[in-house]
Amino acid sequence: MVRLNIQQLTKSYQNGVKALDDVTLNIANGMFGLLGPNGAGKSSLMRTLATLQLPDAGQIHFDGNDVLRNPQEMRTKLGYLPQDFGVYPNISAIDLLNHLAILKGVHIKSERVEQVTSLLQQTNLFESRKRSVSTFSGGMRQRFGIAQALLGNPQLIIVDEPTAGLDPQERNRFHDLLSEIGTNRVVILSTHIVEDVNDLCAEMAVMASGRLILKGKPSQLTEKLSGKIWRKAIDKINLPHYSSIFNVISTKVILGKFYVFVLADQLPASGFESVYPGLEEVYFSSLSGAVNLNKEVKR
Amino acid sequence: MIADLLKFELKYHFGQISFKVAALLFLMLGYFCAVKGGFGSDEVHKNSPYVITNIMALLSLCSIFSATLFSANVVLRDSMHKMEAVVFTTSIKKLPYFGIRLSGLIIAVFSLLLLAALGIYIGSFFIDKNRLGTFHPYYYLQPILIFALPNVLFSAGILFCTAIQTKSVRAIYVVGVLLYIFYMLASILGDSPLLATSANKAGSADILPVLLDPFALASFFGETRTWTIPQRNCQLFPFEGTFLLNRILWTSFTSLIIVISYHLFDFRLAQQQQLKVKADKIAYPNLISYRTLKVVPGGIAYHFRAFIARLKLELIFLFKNIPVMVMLLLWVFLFGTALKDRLFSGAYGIHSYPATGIIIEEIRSMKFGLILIIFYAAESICREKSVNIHSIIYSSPAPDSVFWMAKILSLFGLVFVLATLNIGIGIILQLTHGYFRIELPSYLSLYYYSAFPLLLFVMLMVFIQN
Repeated sequence: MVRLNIQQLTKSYQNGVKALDDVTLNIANGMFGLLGPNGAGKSSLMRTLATLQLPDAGQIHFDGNDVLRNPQEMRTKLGYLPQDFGVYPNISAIDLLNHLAILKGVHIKSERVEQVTSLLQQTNLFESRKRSVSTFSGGMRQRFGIAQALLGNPQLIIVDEPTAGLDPQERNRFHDLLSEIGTNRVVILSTHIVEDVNDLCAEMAVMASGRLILKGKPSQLTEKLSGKIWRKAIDKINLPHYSSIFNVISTKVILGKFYVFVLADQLPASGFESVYPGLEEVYFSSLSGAVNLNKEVKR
Repeated sequence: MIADLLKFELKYHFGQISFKVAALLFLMLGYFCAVKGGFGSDEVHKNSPYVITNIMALLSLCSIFSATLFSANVVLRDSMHKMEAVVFTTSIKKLPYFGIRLSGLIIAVFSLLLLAALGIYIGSFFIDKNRLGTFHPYYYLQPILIFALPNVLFSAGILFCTAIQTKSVRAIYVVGVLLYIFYMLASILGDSPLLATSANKAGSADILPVLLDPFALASFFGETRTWTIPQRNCQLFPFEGTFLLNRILWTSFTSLIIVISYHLFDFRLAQQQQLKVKADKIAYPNLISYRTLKVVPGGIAYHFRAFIARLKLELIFLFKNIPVMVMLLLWVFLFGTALKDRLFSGAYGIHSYPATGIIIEEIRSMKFGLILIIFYAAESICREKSVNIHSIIYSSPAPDSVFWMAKILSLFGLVFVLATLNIGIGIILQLTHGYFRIELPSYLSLYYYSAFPLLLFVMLMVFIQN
């Protein structure tokens, strides 16, 4: 069942950058991964969904509520972790969470204490709960951000680059928590780490220059590319040559060797070997604009 | 390389909006002081060395404020914008780094006074010719060299050392205010004619207060008080005696502080503060699994709770705000001294009785309160944005009115504290001078007569800044 409905969202900034260009998306319960390079418009979309900025055109509905016309209703169901945030100085983690819980409308004190404690434990901040958040290290602060996004009863959870700065252990922990929560609510995860989407999300989309260039299920998307991705170890100086002949979607150094990855229906040339595509290849092939999988998915 | 670095430093200084505003302000101050200012009788030429020195000396006092602002914005830029790790690992050595930062600040602050001098010069073209004497470049140069330059060195030097040692904006503001207090203290001790009441007191100043005044205004006003009109029109302020001693004393003091500060400055990242992690005595509670809760983000009860939570936070910020508290102390100190002075050694030696009516008359207007409120309101209104928590706070379901009401009420709290302090000063002054008929209702009426207009002002300010 579609809960979040985004239609033809368009937003330009004063400097002429078109951050969102006719974005249309339907999102159901579960985790939704939003991939894209830096400056693709992911954060603009997130901020718009979080009712912090208005689009130039388009509509957003969540559970039937017109978000742009009635942002207050949206805010009561929102959990938002911005990409970059700060905190008030000299306020401890537990006090600040408690304060935010009050603002979110958690009105029974015992419940508030329980939820704050639980979130502090889940994010492994319980022992540092009396420390001022402003003295936290980057990873700890990020975990605090995750905790505050889950306060109250969020139905739409928007997390913008949540695992930036987390160590692998904390990252796994966070993924566990998110996927546990994500079953009966909408979680939008914006990231440029392809692996995160692969591990967690049932649905995904790729954005570039404000446009949605690809959407679908990760497994189906990789399946579609199966047998079409080829790689070859080459000398780096020959890259322009290969780029001119083949549809090179990416390059990568693996064990000290320089590989080109090429998208082609059959073996492009001798020396190439077939690669089973991962989500990374889907991402790169969509970015290179070689295949418009978008159309195929719709068909 | 040094020249390039200095050029960059100055470009950074001159590019600041605060610098541009200050530059315009000083130019205009110079102009208006020259055109509109009154300096003794009409026969004193408006471009006489006395008038120019007078204006330059007074304006050099303002270098405390510009140096404070520029230290906070420019000298601290590396630590404030987290560039230290990058800058400190380049090949620049400690001496050039220190020297360029210091000279950049001194040049920036000094250039404002040059602009003020230019303002005076421009002003002289707009003054009736009958009121002008002959123009002489030395009339401008001498005050710039003996007043402006040493005073800039003093204030910029001290504030620079504060900035580079503490790397804290608050410390800079506090030292800026302390410099001002210190100057005021010296003025009070030295019976400076700048304080209205001291003007008509007889007797010559002692040498100690003259030396103590780091801006040497006491010596200037003390000595020129008895100058005749021809003297004021033609004579440069003599660079000798206690005045010379004062200049030597404060310039060497500043140099000493700078040298010490240079040796203490270790050109490394500040050590991370070692936090005392208190051992948790409470038993670690069992792991509670996360569950979502029913929320009621609406209705009167919710709004009230959210409002109280915001107000609590705002009040914590207000009363834990060190600069505001320091300024409140300064207020008590200055106002107490000034009031005492006005009552017990007023003009022509009049000694007033500390009656409630007289005291209330004196404390009714709260001009300083206005400055403090503007200062704090600006901080309070932009707080969410400046600490970068606005995207979390403003995406919560609490309506805007809750945030603004809490901010306004905390500002009301500040007004209330100011009014109460004023009343406290008045009552204490009465009690310590054997006057026990305290008319409390009259005092309480001050909450209406002096606090209420400020409340309206607060509303207007929040409204405008919104």
